Amino acid sequence: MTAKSGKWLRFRVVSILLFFLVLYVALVSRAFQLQVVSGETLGKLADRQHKASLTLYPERRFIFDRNGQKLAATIMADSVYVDPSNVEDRTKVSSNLSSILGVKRQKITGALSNQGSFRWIARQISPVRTERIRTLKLKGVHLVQEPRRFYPHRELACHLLGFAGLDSTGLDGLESKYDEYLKGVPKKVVWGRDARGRKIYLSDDSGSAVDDRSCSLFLTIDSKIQYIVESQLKKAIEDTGAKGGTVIVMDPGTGEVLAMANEPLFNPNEFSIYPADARRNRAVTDCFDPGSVFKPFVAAAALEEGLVTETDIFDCENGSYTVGNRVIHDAQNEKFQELNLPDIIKHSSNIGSVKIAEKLGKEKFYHYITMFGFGSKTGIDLPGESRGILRNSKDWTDVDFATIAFGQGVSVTAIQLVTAMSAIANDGVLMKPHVVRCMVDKKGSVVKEIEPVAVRRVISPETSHRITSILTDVVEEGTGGNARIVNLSVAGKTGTSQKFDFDLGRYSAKKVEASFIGFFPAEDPQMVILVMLDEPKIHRWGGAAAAPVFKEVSEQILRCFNNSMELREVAANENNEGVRIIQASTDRETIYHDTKVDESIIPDFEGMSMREVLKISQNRGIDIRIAGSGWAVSQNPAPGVRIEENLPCYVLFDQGV
Amino acid sequence: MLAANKKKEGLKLFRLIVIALMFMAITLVYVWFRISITKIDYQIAEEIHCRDGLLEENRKLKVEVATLKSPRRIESIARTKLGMRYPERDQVIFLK
Repeated sequence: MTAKSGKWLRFRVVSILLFFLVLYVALVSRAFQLQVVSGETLGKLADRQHKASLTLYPERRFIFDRNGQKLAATIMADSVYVDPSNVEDRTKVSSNLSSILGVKRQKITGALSNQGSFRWIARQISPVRTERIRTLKLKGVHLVQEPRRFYPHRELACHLLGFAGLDSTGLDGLESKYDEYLKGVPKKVVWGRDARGRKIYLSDDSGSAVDDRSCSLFLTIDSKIQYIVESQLKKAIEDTGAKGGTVIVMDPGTGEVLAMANEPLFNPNEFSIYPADARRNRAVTDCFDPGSVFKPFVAAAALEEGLVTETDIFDCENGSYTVGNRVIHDAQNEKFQELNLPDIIKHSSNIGSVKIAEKLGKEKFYHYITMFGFGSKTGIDLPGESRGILRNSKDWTDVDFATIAFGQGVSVTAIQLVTAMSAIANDGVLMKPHVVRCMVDKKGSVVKEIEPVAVRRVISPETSHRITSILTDVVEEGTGGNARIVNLSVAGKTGTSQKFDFDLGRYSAKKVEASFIGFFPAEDPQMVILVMLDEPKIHRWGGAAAAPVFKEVSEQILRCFNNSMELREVAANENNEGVRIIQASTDRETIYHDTKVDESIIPDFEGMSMREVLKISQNRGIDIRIAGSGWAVSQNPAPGVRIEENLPCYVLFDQGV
Repeated sequence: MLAANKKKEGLKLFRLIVIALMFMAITLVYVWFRISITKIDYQIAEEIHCRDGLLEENRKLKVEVATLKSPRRIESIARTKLGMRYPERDQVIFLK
């Protein structure tokens, strides 16, 4: 290598080095400018390109009945929107969407002619419609998922549950009352996307973490009882031609509402197509004159004050009693001479009830009816509760005082009435009614439990038992005969009240509210049931229209639940001690008529049908375990062994072919 | 002397080439890792989408079960299709 060529080589190397150095400095400068000087702005721009986010509507939590049956749930449903700036063939799009969605074509055309990039076409559509739209692949038409409130049992407990709107906000019923617990927190979802818009997972999705403290509700409602009540109420409305009606079932010991039904019903999945009148929870919002079902409270007050006893005789004025400028008559033109207190309730004498109230005096009478909760809200956890109409006793005229004594001139809600009767059934303690048992978070932990609340003692347990005894006679021998249930002691009272005709400005002679309120078993009340029918056309009296509904509802509840209710022995057996009759319903079953049977030992089951074995076991209190089908072929322990509490008896059945 | 210098320079060049190759290898491994991570991110995104779909389907099925358990529907089937009726009270026996 010559010196010249060496210099040339060095020059070239240095030039290249310098070139790369300049390039490197330029690169570093550009990087500095991009990363540091404009880093923040460009970072945001890049995020907008690479990241996409969506704020999801809060997911409403569930509503369950007391046994965990889902009454309200949230599912995802597709909603359709258009981007008018992207739509190519507006006529085609509007005609296709109109035929699939059933939306008027003009409405879609109007949306398409709008400026902007977003217009709703239809919200929360069915999966079938979603699929049809998806297959058309219309440019500018998009689908987005939204949570939709769904009520799987449709009309069941509709007035209690209420409904939620399109934006997941509770609008009525429990959905509205407990909205803040049910609605949850909006969730933000962030994901990455490439140049073609494909989704990429982002490990840093801190935006989606939210503190969700929403809760599901567990109600006191039993969906089986609710269904029984609703179906029986519907049948009663059809049978009597009534305009509407209400039934409430309550546990008197806790104030838990086990069922609450109104007619007409509505489907909360399509609440918007029903009139507001059908969606109203009449059991808590509507007032009515209670009529004769108010009389037990008058009697309870008088007994509690010790002003009357069961043997006191009242002159019932031969069915006509003048108070002020009004003449009071007994119902159905009955003409009673002298009646004692139980007979006044049993025969539902208006005049007798007025006489009892007169013994009490206005102030004491008013004091007791307010103590029973009339004239004030019960505090039930449902929206729209009315306090009823009860004027202060100072404003009562003599006629007002007299008519209130038999339940006219005072307005009460169904929930007030059933709560007050529950106080009589609950040894005189008034409980606060409630429909929510507890709230449960996402993990299933109980966040809040609603304990029964005793509001106050209204009457003593002794008075409560005395009134219960009188009310039992009402069902056994009085106006409530249609509510009688074989082998079960029922206490109750019928009521028929005239409705106030606002056009005429007086009580209507034709329009009535027929009601029955009662509880069972009378010895240890477990359920209080109120049945109220609005303007029945066929049977107009509470005893004829409402009492049979009470009986049907009670019998179906008894069929479905083992409430360990005390059953009385059949009256027909009273003269034959030791005789137990088991009615046969099939040819193979035997009628046992044996006075010598020792019921303390395990019998010989061999050859008996399963039904026979079960009946005998139930009667004798044998802990029976069965296997197979057909007729009993063997058993352990052997017949004759003494029955003991912890001694199960195994019986094997066989077809015996 | 010249031969020794040549050998020294050749060794230097060899080292340079080895370092450059190593640098290239590290860069390629890094790029390969990045591509793999991106591929996995696509897969995760797809799996998440799939999971969300399955969760939603599961939720819909649970709601469908609740709908099918509706007492109104069961009674209708029992009465119309199976010809059943409510039992009398004495026909109901509660087992312990």
